[in-house]
Amino acid sequence: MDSSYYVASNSHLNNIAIAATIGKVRNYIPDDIVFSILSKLPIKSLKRFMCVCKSWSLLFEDPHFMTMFRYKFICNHNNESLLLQLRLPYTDDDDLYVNRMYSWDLDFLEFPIPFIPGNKYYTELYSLSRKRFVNKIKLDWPNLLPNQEHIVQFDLHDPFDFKIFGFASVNGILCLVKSNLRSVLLWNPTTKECKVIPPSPIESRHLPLPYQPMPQLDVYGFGYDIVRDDYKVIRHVSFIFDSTQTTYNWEIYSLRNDSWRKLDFDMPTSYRSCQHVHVYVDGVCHWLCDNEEATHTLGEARLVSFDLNNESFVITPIPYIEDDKDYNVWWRNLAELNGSITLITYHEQTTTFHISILGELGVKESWIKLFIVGPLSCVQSPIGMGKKGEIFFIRNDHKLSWFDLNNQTVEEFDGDENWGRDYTYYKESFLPIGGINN
Amino acid sequence: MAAEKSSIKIITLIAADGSVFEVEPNIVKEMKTVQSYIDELDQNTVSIPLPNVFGNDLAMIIEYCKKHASEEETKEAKEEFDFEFVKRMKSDDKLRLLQAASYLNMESFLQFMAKAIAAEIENQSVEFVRDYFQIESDFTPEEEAELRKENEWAFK
Repeated sequence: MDSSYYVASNSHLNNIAIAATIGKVRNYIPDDIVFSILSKLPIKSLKRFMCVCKSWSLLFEDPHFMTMFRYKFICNHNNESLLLQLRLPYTDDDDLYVNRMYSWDLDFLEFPIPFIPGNKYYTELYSLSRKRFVNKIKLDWPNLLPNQEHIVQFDLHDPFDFKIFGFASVNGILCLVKSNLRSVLLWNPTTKECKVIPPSPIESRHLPLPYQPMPQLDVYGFGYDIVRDDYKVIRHVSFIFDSTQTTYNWEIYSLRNDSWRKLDFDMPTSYRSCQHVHVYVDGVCHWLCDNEEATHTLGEARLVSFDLNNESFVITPIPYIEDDKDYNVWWRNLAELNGSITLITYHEQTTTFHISILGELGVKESWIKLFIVGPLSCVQSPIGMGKKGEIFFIRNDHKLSWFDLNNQTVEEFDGDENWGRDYTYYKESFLPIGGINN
Repeated sequence: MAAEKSSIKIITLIAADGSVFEVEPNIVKEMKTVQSYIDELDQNTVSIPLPNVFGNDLAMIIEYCKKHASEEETKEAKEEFDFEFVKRMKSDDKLRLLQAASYLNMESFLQFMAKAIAAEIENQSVEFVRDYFQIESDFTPEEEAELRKENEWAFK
C-alpha cells in the first residue's frame, strides 16, 4: 500500500515511533513538552517543584524554559488602550468656552473667572490602541455638573494640575485626582458617567482658615472589593504645621457608603509622589515605598500591598540590586504583567532595565527576574512599563518612545507631539459606577 | 498542485489499534504532521496510519478539532466545550492526549492540554507531581532537605 509506505519513511512520524504502549507512555514525555506544562504554573508551584528532580531544580536557569515562561507575561491579547495626554500651549485665540480645553476643570464654564494667559497649557486626552498604538482617538474629558460644588475650589495658579491615578482602569472606571484640591473623581469614559467623591470629615474640620495648613491628600489606591461589590479609594492625609509638627492618617472611601472612614493603623508611604508606583491587581492595591530606616542611604525598597476587602496590608521587601547604590540610577516603577506584580528598575550607568515579577506577597525570595534589557543608549529618561512589556521612555531626541520586548526594537509614538509622561491603561466597559448602589 | 490538493475529499486516519476514522480535510489542518504528508500527495483519497495514537484518543482529538474548526459555533460554546472536554478526562487521558498532540504536531491542542495538566498539578505536593509524571527523585535526602529549606515559602 503506497500510503503506508510513505508514512513509514516519514522521519517525523518515525522518530517518535517509540514503544508507545499504554501505561508506559508517561515516561516518554520530552523536556520541551514538560516545559510547556511547567511554564503555565505560578511561581510558587514552580519553586516547590524544584524539589521534584535535579533537572527541574535548574528550571529558572534553563534558557529554553525561560523563553517559554517569559512569553506568558508579554503575550497579553487584551484590547486595552493606552491613555496619553497631549499638552498644548494655550493661546489667546483659543476659545475657552467652546473648546473645553482645560482638562476636566470645567469650573471655568460655570464660573466665568478671567483666565490669565501666560505659560499655560491645556491638555487633550487620547486613547491609543492596536498594534504599535496606531489607532489614536481623542476623548472628551468628563463633563461636570454645576451642582458638584466641592469641585469649585480650585487653585487659579495651577488649574491643570491633575492626573489619572494608577496603572489601569478598574472595570473600565478611572480615578482622577486633582492634587491641589480635595477632589477625587471616578469616571467611565465609555458611558461618560462621572462620580465626584465627597470630602471626608477630616477635610471639613480643616477647611481653609487663616494660618491653618491645607491637608495634603495623596491617593494610594483605587480598586474593586469583589466580596462587597464596592469601589474603594485609599489615601494618606497629612497636615504639615511646620517642620517639626506633622499629623497624618489613612482614610478609605467606600462608594457603597459614599463616605470616607479613618483607618486605625499606619502604613509606609511612597518615597515619591511620582507616577507609576501604584498598581491595582485583583482586589489589592500595591505601591512602592522606601525603607524607613534607610531613607538616607536609599537602601532596600519595599512593596506595600493593601487588601481592599479585609483592609489589611502586607509588606514585601525588594531585593537589593548592586547598581542601585548610585543615587542617579534610582528609578523604580510598578506595572502589572499577566496579573503579576512587576517591578522595573533602570540602571543609568549601564543603561539597562531589569524586570522582575513577584511570586508571593510578603516573600522577598519570590521575586523572579524575567528580563534584563539593554544597554539602550538612546534612553534619556525612563517612564514606565506597558501591559505587553513595552518599556516607555523619553529618547535622546525628546520623543516619547518604547522598547518592544517581543521584537526587540525601539519604537516611537507618532509625530513630534508633546505627549505627557503620564499613562494609564483603559478598557472599555459599560458597567455603571453608581449601579452598585441600586 | 493547489488544484490537486483541493481535490482531496476524505482522509482516512488509522489508529494504532486499527480503528478507522474518516474525516474532512479541514479537520486535519491543525494536525501538522498529517497535513504536511497530505500536501506532498496528489490523490483524491488518502489513508494515513497513526501508529502512536490509540482509537479512543484519536476520537477525542477529532471531536475537539471538529468543534474548533466549526464556523457556526460561538466562542462561548467552544469555551464551554473545552471545559467539559477536560472535565471528563483522567490524568492518564490528559498525558496520553498531550503525547498525541505532540506526535501529531498540533500546537494549539498541545497548549490546551498542557494548560489542563498545569491546572491539575498546580499547588499539589512534590510527591504528587513525581507520581503524576512517574519521575524518580535523583536527590540525596540531604540535598532535597536543603532545597526545601531554601524554598520554604513555596510549601506553605
